[in-house]
Amino acid sequence: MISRRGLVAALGAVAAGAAIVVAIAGCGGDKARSPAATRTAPAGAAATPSRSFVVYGKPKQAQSVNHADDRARGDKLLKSFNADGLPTPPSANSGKKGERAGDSALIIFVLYADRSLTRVVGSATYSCTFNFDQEAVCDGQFQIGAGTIIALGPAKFDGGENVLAVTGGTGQYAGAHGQVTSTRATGSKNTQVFRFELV
Amino acid sequence: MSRPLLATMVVLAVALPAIPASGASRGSQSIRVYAVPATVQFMNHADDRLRGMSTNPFKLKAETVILGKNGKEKGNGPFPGDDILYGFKLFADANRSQPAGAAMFTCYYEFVKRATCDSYFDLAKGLLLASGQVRFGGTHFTLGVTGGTNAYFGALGQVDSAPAARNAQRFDLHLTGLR
Repeated sequence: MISRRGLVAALGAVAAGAAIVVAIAGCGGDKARSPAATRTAPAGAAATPSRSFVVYGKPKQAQSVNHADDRARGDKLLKSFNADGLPTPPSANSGKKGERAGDSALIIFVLYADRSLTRVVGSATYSCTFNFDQEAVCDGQFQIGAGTIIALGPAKFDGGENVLAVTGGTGQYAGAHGQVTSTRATGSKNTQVFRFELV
Repeated sequence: MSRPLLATMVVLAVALPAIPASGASRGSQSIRVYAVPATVQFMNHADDRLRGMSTNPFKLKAETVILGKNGKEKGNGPFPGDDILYGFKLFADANRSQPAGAAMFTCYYEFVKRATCDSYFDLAKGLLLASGQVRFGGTHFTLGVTGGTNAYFGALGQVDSAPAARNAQRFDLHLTGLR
């Protein structure tokens, strides 16, 4: 099982090629107490306004939960379920370091409006259940300003880009849909750039 | 058109991020895929359940629901709190000749062997998310599409599931709200 520090570092490694994100963050401006944002007005009466903005997240806490015992009992029961004779999941019980199928992790981020991490705009919580090949399904709750954005989707902690679908929200984000892309901030070990595209 | 106005328009066009155009028509689409189970992991939370029976915020006698007189759990479950992870390979055709991506189901069991399943379909053009209730061992079920990414940005709709030949599962994804 990886350590908390390792988990935070792994999250920090979610990364690369953030040029577009950084460009948008730059042009969006670092306005006080609000994330860098743009809003396009609806062209027609039935149209829905779209929003795109960037926030920066710094991991604050992480908790990894190792369900090895539940997995071992589950493996015994699986035979009695006659689960199609499926093969043992890769990385599930391999003994290799890292999260395995069924393990979970909770991560809290502090969210900032600016790249220099000076203006706090909210917080985010990721609740992840690992499946196979060190990939997890993550439920992300972003509390930003006067509302919450809810996102869900797969995440790999291997330094690549992760895209979650935004499935809803509350307050100023009620009814939100779209996606959020997370990448590692350029020149940072673990700061994440969250780029929201909402409709 | 004046030069300053033209310049302003060019600057605006460059500055605006690539987000769906407001007022763009919201389309619909149906996708059929055949899913073949690739891997599975069952998680038996018996110890957590037992601890939860002695220490919990409710004033319920949950023991009789799950435990027999001998103190052991009745039958094989799945019991409330268990979860199961399913990985599927997806194909565009019933003959499994055209790979179409992968799907993952994470199901959390409640009572009477019913689970709430969160799934995602990783397709070539993007990701689709769907959630809903599935009975253990059930092959006919319907999930609600809760969102998507890239080509499926903002997707809603539903997924109908039915058994297919050779132990496969057929998923009909009916999507609305596409840009």
